[in-house]
Amino acid sequence: MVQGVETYSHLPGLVVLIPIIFTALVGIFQKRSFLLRNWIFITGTALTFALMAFLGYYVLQGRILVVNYLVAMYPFTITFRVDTLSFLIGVVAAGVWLLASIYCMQYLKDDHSPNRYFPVHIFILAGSLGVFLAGNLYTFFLFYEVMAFSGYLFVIHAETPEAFKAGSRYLMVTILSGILVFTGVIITYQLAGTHDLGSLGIIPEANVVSLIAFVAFIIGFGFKAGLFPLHTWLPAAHPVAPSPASALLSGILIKTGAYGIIRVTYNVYGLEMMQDTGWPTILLIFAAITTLYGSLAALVQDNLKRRLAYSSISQIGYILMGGALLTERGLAGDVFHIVSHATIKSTLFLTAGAIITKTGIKYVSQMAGVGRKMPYTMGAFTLAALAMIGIPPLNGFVSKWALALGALDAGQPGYAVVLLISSMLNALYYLPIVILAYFRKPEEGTVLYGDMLRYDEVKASMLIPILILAVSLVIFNILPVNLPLVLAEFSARALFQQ
Amino acid sequence: MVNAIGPTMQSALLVTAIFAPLLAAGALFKVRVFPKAHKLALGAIGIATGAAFVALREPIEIIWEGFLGVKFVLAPDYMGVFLAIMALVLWLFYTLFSLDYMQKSKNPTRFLFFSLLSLTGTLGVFLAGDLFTMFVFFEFMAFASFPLVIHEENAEAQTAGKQYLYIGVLGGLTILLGLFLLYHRLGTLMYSELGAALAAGTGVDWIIIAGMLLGFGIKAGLVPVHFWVPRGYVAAPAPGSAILSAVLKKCGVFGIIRLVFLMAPILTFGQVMLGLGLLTMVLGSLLAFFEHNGKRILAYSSVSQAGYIMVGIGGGAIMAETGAMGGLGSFYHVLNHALFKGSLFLAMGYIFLRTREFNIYRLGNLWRKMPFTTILAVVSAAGLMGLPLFNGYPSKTMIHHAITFAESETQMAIYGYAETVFNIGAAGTTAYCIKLIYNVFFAPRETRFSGDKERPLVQSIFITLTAAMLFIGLAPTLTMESIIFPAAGAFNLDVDFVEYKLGGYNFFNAYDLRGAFNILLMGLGLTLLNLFLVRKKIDLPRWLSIEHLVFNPIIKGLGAVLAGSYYFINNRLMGFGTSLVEGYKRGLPYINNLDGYVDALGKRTDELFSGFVFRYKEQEDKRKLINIILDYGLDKESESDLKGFWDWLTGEGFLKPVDKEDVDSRDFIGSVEDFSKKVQEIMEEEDLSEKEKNRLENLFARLMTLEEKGFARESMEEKRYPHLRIIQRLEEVFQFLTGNIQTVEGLEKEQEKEKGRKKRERETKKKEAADSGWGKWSLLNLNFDMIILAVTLVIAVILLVFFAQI
Repeated sequence: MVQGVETYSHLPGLVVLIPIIFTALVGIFQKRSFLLRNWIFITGTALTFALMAFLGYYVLQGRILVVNYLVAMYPFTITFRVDTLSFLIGVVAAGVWLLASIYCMQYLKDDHSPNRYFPVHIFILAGSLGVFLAGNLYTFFLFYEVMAFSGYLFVIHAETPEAFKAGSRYLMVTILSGILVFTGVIITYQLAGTHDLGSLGIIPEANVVSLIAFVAFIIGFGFKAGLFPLHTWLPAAHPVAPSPASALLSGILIKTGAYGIIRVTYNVYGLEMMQDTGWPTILLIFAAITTLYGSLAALVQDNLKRRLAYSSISQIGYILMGGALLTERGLAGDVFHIVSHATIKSTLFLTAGAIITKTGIKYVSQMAGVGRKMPYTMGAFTLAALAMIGIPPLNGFVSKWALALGALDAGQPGYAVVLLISSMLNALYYLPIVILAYFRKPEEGTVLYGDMLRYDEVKASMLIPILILAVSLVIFNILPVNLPLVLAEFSARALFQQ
Repeated sequence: MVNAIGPTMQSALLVTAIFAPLLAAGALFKVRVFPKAHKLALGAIGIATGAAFVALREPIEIIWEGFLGVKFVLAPDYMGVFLAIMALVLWLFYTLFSLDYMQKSKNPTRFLFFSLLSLTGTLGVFLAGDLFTMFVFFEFMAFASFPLVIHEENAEAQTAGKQYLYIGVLGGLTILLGLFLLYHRLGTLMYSELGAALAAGTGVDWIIIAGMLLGFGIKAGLVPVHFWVPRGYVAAPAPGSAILSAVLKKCGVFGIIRLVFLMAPILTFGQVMLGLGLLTMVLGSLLAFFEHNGKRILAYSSVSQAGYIMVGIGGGAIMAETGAMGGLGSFYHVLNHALFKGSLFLAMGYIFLRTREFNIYRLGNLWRKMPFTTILAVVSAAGLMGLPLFNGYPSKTMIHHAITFAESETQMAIYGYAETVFNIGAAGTTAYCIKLIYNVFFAPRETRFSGDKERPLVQSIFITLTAAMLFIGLAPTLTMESIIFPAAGAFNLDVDFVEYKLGGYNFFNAYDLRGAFNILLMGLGLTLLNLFLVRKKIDLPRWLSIEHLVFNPIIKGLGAVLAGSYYFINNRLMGFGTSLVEGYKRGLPYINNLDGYVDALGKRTDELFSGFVFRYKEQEDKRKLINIILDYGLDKESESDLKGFWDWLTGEGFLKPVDKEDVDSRDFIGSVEDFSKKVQEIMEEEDLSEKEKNRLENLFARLMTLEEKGFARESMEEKRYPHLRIIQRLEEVFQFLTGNIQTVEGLEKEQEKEKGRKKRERETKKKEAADSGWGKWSLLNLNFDMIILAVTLVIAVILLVFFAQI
């Protein structure tokens, strides 16, 4: 593959437009019949995924798709730009979205207000794809806000007091995050005279103002990603959201923050300036704290989804660390871990949702015997848990390997050790769940006692997305060419070209 | 992407050999019924064995670039091939045996499934051509073999299984640390390019060596990380124990051989290995010597035998190219140990199946009922003792020679002492073997025995294994020359040189025989000592376990550190000085009181790991309270034990005050009388059996008498164990860090309580704030509001500076 040939094409615009159109369609038709709504819903996400995957045809040829639309705010244009990095994360996002959509049709069947959920579900897809495919900071910011604010509806969906509490936290965070990112964007535009994301480094010199912009970006995106002292909305929001929504929140939406930080570090500031000034060290330290803190906190959670949420915080630490190491291998590991964590964590959340649907169990301590009742679901959970710990040949191992080597390349072996400690902690809070579910008999008087302990899986439309995700954790790594890894390495190399 | 060097046909067969068990395991989803599934598995293992025999005649190399970002290489050398075939053949026997053994077991197919997965992992470890591939399979094997340990699912197996899994993960991670550093330095992990990579002995080299030694040592069961072995081997069913001891242990040994001879041929490292081996060997023997449980004896014996192997490896490494005796001796011992220890585990399991008894002092006179088992066990034990004409003899002789050579070559007295230690360990081995065999098979006691005598299938398995061992024992030189010598390359030795040096060595010479005879005599002496000890009921004290002495204090220390940090954070910056003093005050009795807290934190850690964070709700369960009293209280015979029990009871907070309002729920009410009344109440509600009631009343009577002597007053002064406070604090650290933890039951109650408490807290805070004017703004308060406030400030500053710049 050769990087660099820019091609003008309307396809990226179409990718973002389709979900918006289908939001309207779902909204119009859902009152007539829920069956029709489901079909439109699935067609919309499937079409988006198909088109997104089709962009791969160009990207694998080494082309970069670019398109400009002049909409109202001269001189700011809405620009989409699909390079390898955008494509990789975008296609994974669309894929996970498709599976979550299939899953949520069954999951929300008896829900109190599915007609609010479904349009929002597909609308946020437009928002996050807009973020991933954005070609300048204005577009990025626009879709970032679209995505973040509609996420509020995910969080409060249950309409319980806790949900509203978590929702108001989420809203506060979103507003602050938006303000900070906006600050960063205008400072960048002021200093550089451009806000294009196509080049490597547009800020001309390192001074106090550009440092302020950098800090604003880090805090703004850190809120979204769940960086250590800014993470407080995350464990509150995940358990109350519906499971497919938690899967997307944790799998895709918090990655927009991480993606933003990568773009800012490498495209706005550029590698050279970052290396000279050493500013990413701040991020590196906080990322390490996030990793350990998330794991330690997850260790004592009894609520399954809350445990998974803290695990996400810990994994975001891996991801931010990879970008801040400023080495090529580290960045490749970072990008690959964005992909692998998206699949792994969605598997886990969807599994948790399946368990809740079938048994009503929300707490780890009640899970004795779940493995006998739902062997395939728990099998997927086990696989994902092992991937999270980083056991070969699952994809979590590949990212851990690349990240640790990146840390050694950067001359920071301490961060490799942080990764290993975090892996150990991961084992300590994931494996007990597996052991409990498969090897412990439920005690008398618990939920699963007696007749409840028959083999009884969720319906195929919920099980199949889980199984597809679970298979994806291993299948790419045992194919002769590990496509996500190759793409991740390639996108890292592209950002390191000087 | 995938390249095969060597004949295509044989490469394909090699891949078949490794993955046939995996495929068979997949097929078990279709064929689940007990004997059918086993037959399928036997077929697969048979095919794999055949394929391995054919494939491995010529050097093969299969390379797959880019696997997991690194490489996948299969390039077996002779040692790997040999061990792989050994694993396959033994697996065949053990699977055949489980056809009989697992008949009445639950989930035989699940056991088989994971056994097959472990087999694939093991074969991969032995046949891999680079360290990375080996690691991948090693991890696979570690996880796949976990269900073999936890198979029985009783409390014992749960503990053992968890321990096995966690320590396995830890080992995997330390190996991974070594791999990171090694790969970062060299850019490759191929065996062919790793030669002497760590020989420089720099600091980083030693980190790599330590990481990998720990990882492989855990699997091999070396001291001081052997503590999982007695639990794991005992909890697993007989075929599982045999697999663990005979084959999986060898994966660790294999890794260590690669580490010592391929990567780090350093003299110091050889000496370390020798020391570690001697320690492991003697400690294992000692523990087996004092043990009553037959299966635990075998487990400790496995530890001890791993020590033998390490001694051989160490001796070989010290002598470098002249150390043929050490390296090859240890390799020879790997084979012998696999044969006799696996057989002993099978025999012991079979005895358990018929008698439901592991205590050797309750077994006896079994040779009449189980003649084939007796023959197998006697021959294996004779090999284990190293008697001439049996199979342990040649390998032990070689290892012994390695030490004596080292002494005569280097003229260092230390190796002389090493030889003495070695002899003591060997004598211990003799003693516990005699004890085991005599008590189980020949002691004049009658044993409860049910079921048939040996079935023909089992008879034939036992006979075959016996024959194999006898063959090696009777023709040691032939065996050595034909199957041990070709492995010389793995020990940095030249095959021709080895043949010149050791070819035709006669093991039955006067010197070696005399050595064996001396050890036998010493062993007989120790046996007499053992008889005396058993009669006097003298046993090793329980606190002498390594967990108790080393690992639990480490975990506790970490807990103390965390608790200390909690004080620091909790009291914020304003109360920093106070917190230090307070933390010190609370910590001091904790340090002084080193005796009681070990069990308590062990329990806590267990709960932490199982996800049961809360024990408050358990205390509300009345029936559980009774059970706890019955479980823990009644075997306390001496007064001090009883007092300890009472302290524990009161310290745990089982005895709550009548008035719950506003009092720490862990406070307790005073006397035994109050306590017994309370329990009486519960007893009336729950219907207890007469026996249980009697036992409880008996306990209270004893407690009363003791109370009159004044112990209760004393314990009231102490109030509670300080360490429990610390542990409670530890939980609070997590609570603090994580916001709030929800309990399952009594959630609403907790919340209500919490509300009341918070309200009061808020009020006091307000007052404090009004007093000092600073309390509200104390730092390190990770409240959400505070963050919002801080960030808003940051934004304001940013905007100010920004506009000022423009």
